[in-house]
Amino acid sequence: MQEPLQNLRYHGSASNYMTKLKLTSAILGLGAAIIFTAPVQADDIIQTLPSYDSPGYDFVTSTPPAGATTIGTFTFTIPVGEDVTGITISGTFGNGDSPTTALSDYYLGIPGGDETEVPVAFCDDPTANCASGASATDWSATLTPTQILDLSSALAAGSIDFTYTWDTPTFEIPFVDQFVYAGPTTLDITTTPEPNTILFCLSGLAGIVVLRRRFRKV
Amino acid sequence: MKKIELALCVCMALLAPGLFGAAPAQNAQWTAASAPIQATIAGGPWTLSQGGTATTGGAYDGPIPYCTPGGSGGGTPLLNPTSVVNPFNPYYFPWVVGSGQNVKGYFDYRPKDINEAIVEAISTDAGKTWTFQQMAEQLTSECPNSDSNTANDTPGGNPAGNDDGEGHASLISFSGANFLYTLNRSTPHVDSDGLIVHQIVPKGVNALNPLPANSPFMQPPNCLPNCVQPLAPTSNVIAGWNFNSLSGTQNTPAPSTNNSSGTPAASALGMTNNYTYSTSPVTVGSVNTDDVTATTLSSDPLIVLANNSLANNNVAPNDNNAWRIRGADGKAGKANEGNGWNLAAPPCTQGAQFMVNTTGYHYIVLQFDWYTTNQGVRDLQVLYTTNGGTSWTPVGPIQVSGGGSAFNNQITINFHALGITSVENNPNFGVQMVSVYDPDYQGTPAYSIPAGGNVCSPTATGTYTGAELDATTNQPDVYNNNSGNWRFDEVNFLGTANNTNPITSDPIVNTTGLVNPDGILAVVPNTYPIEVLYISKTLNSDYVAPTNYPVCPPSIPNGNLNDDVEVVRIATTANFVNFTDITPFNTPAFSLTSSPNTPIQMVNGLSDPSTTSYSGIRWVSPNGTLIKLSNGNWGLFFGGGNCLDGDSDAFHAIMYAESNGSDLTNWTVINGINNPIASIAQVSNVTDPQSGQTVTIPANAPVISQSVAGGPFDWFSGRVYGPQAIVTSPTTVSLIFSGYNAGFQLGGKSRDYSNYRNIGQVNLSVANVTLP
Repeated sequence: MQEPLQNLRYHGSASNYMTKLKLTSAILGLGAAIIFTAPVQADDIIQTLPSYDSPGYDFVTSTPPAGATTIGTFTFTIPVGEDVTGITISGTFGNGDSPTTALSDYYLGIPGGDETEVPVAFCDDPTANCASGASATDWSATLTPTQILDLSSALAAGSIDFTYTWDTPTFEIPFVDQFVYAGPTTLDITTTPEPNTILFCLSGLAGIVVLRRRFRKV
Repeated sequence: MKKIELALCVCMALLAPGLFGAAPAQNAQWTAASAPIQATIAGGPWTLSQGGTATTGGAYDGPIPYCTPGGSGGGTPLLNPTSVVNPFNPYYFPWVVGSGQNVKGYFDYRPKDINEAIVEAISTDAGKTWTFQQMAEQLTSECPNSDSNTANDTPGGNPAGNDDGEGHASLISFSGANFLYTLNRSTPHVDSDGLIVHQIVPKGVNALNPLPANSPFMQPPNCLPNCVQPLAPTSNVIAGWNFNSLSGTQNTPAPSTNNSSGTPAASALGMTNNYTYSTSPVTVGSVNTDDVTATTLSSDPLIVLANNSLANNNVAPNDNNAWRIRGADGKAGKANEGNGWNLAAPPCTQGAQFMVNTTGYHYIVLQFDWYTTNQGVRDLQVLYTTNGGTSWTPVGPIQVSGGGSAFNNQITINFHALGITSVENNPNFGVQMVSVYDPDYQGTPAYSIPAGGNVCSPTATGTYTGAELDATTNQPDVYNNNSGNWRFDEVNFLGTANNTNPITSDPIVNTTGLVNPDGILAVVPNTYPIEVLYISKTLNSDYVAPTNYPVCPPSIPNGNLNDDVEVVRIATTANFVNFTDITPFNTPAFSLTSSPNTPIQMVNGLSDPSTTSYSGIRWVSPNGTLIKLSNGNWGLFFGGGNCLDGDSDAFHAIMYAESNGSDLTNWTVINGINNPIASIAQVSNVTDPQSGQTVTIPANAPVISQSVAGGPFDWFSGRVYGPQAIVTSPTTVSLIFSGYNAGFQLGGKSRDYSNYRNIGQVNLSVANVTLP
């Protein structure tokens, strides 16, 4: 059985013992100061899906599927002890194959599943760059805390779908196929250590301080 | 007091724009940010540098000839791997899309007298270097028979020696649909037919998907005397008429091909009637008197030897037979001798009908060639029946004649693509091609269709017009009620038993509504209906009022003469095929007489088709660029030329103009002939035909430095045009353009085998405005 802390003997001279104890306390104190004063380090998880070309539909002889179509799935691992504190997503309407896209909206997640649908980009105006410009159009979105919360189950699972829906066109080009063209899409998840983790650090430091005082009394 | 003075100063500052007028928006000021370079291409078909030098070698027998093995051995046209990098020639008329460093370009590949094709390539450095992706719509796969390949400069020759295929490619991209437009260069279609419309579905290296490798105009090798183009397929034909084995009066011509289970039947509509004709004296009544007659340049190249003394050489015009629809057209004043076609006929009652049993066939496609004489009725509508003619339904758009005395070839109605399946496996199927009122006619009675009706509605209003536009107004005129007729050739009903696509070639779909288009100058971004600026070129029109402008003297240095009239016009489209020209009337500025020029439809300020000044812009070429500027104006890079060149191809200089605010029909040229962005070689001490002054052109150094024949930038010292400005930052563009060396046309006779139709690149910076 280990001797209780108060009966520990240092096998050496008392003065050497005290010097080493002071040194150890100083080192631990310095370490505590670093932990207390250093900012909490955030990590970024970045995933990119490749370009996407949809099938064509002319809205006369063929119509696109109702609901969301998946462009791709972001897969990732949130490190243990870390929370998701920020999500941004960016891409283009149009891509290297075509500078324009059919009117459509992009989402993270799909309805009806474990994920909640979070809209991230819209191409709704036929005269906007996304539909009638000369080059692919950049878009980006930064999710709100509420939106991040909506995706919590997907984040926990390490898998989020990137999807799109077709707008009901305010026009039709009869018998001419329209396509959704999306450029490479990048998801950037920012994580930081959980509050519990910090608390454990602080508790450990407090324990060290207590021990130090006890040694002094001895 | 100090506070009062300060307050007064502030008030003056705030009110000054209202009191004294706001400072006018400043125009963009362009400067060169790099030296122009010849671009390179990795991979792709044969290039000039592979053939040799300016005076030695060539496509036939150069170090790396056009074909492998080449020379008398002919062989297979070369296709370089992407590991092989060459100067980017012979390509021209670039059309580039994108911004920044990653761009995509469509180019006109045209080795002289050898071939013409559309090539697509990509660049990751804003157009300095390119990588070949795909080539499509080539005119021929034949090998040259000499370095000049001029020995057989006739269509259908063997080898063809022909580079008049599809050119001047341009792209409209909208809502994920992409349309490529090309110009049919062949005679007599160039600058009169509508542009050819191709829908492309680009996917990676298949950037021109699904365009076929070969153009519908291609003549297969060794095809004499019975050349059959891919355009007129003999396979998958349920029933077809080419009329070649028929002669004389033909009111119900028999089909030339019948694979149906019935008896196909053709007949005219409405040519027997009691209408009154505008003859003098008046004629009442008409009797159907159709016949077959030799008519040039349908899609059927077969020669009817009895019709054409040149037939043995298969030289255009190759007069094969067409079916002519008309009345007797006999003596004026004699009963029943009328022409058949009449203003009093209700819409959709005059034309032709074809009944075809499609039992056992699916995926039904109709293709036909339609010809109008100059006075023939301008507008045609296709109708179909599935109940043996009890009822008829319009299908497809109104077809508009290209101006008379020419075929609209291979008009295609793809019932399968239209989702009309009731015509399949149907013994009671038929079509009619009938005359309808002209929706473009601006006079009275006004054109209208009743609510819920269609072009055939009995209560539709309007009038028929003639195919040839009015010489003064350039608008359609009321049909003359006296003469003119329609003709048909290569009427084919296609289908397959297994419901696969029966079309084995790329069917030609032509734009309507563009007036003698030479190509698209620029697409206006962020518009729907789409707006385009386009080049309208009327060949040999200087002698015809109201465009009988002063003609140019012989050009310098090669003594050419040219009397084409070319203007910039504006049009809109909602379906990428049918355009509406909305060009206002403006008056060309210069006139040698005291009388002002007659207003014509043209965009104002870019060019003056009547100027003979060496400092003026008489002609403008297609493939330019529009950019929306921060000062509220549009900026336009364009190519243009004048009498100094003697050529309406308009290649003297690359210039820059700005619009009057958002108004695309009024322009101010900022960088013109004498202070251009780029210019061909300087010409000094020549007498200006208009002013009589001795001039040097350009008077000032071009923005990107002066090209010199045989010296710096020789590769665009002969021609320069086709500017494509790609925005690379808010203050810079990459300008991609095409150019020829001067040696190509010095004296009009020499041929430089090494260096024509180059693609080049230069960076420009701009002050006073920012770019999108």
